[in-house]
Amino acid sequence: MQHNDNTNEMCAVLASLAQTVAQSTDEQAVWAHAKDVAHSIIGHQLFTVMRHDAAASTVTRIYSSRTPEYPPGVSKHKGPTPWGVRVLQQGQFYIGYNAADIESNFSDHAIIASMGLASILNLPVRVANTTIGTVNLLNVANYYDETQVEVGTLLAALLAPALMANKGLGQN
Amino acid sequence: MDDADDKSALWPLVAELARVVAQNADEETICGCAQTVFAQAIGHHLFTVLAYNEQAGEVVRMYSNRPTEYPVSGIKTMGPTPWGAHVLQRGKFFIGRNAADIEWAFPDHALIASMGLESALNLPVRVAGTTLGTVNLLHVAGHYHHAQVEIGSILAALLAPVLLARC
Repeated sequence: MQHNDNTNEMCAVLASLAQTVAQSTDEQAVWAHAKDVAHSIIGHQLFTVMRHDAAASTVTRIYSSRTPEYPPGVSKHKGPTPWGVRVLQQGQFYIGYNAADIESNFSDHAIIASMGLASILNLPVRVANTTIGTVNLLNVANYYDETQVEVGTLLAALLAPALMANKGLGQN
Repeated sequence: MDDADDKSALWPLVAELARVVAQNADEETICGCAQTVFAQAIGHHLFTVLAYNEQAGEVVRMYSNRPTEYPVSGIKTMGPTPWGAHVLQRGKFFIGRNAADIEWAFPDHALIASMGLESALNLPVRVAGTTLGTVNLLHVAGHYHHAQVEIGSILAALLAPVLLARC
């Protein structure tokens, strides 16, 4: 972190998200707060949270900031794509810098493009070496880079308890 | 922290604990990392992690950096105390600034005093309004203050998956 003021503000914002996860019994309120925090510290035009069921190789969208185009509750089978291996199996972040990256990794790239979105940051939520979900930020082309990953990883880590509590199937 | 206004030095510590929780299933490894990280971020002479079963009113000391005086314990029933109502039931942090505060808070205050410890910071680990445990730091008199709570609460929150795995 280059700027102390910036770091202090991120600390305050992450502490407030931790407080919401600790106190709120309303899961959607937790995701909505995460969306706001992600917006203030990283930025996005679309924010979604997916739950990953490693045994079934499925991901279920449990939150979306743009429900008309990306409704929650949708489950998808994830085959062993390079993206799936990297994010879901190995638990590493993924940055798609531009439309070509998105087209080669996501089957729904046409919807993404139609929303004017051309870059993505996927942050795995990982506990005990298992990816239990992903936090996904999308924006215009070339918005995301490696400098956003450290704080993004902390944001994702603070959401792990809420994802662990989400055992239901796509409820929203 | 000598300079409470600059949190940039704390950032790698938070990232380190997040990484260890992400990559390990072993409680001892994770709590050991937490012990190291809390020592650098806030400081302590005694560091323990307590797991709390709210429904049963039971506690387990699952980690201690001084197992001779404070061994890892089996399940114990936690009697009602003002400290328990504040930290375990209401989920608020507690700062004990001196020996009198410690005596008010803890039945085992004589043991704490015998170890030269006269201040405490207790941070509840809480998910969706339920207290799953506490992180407990003890030090010489006057070590803990309100400015340490923000970073402490982030670090404590990162331990929630470990405590949830016990439920």
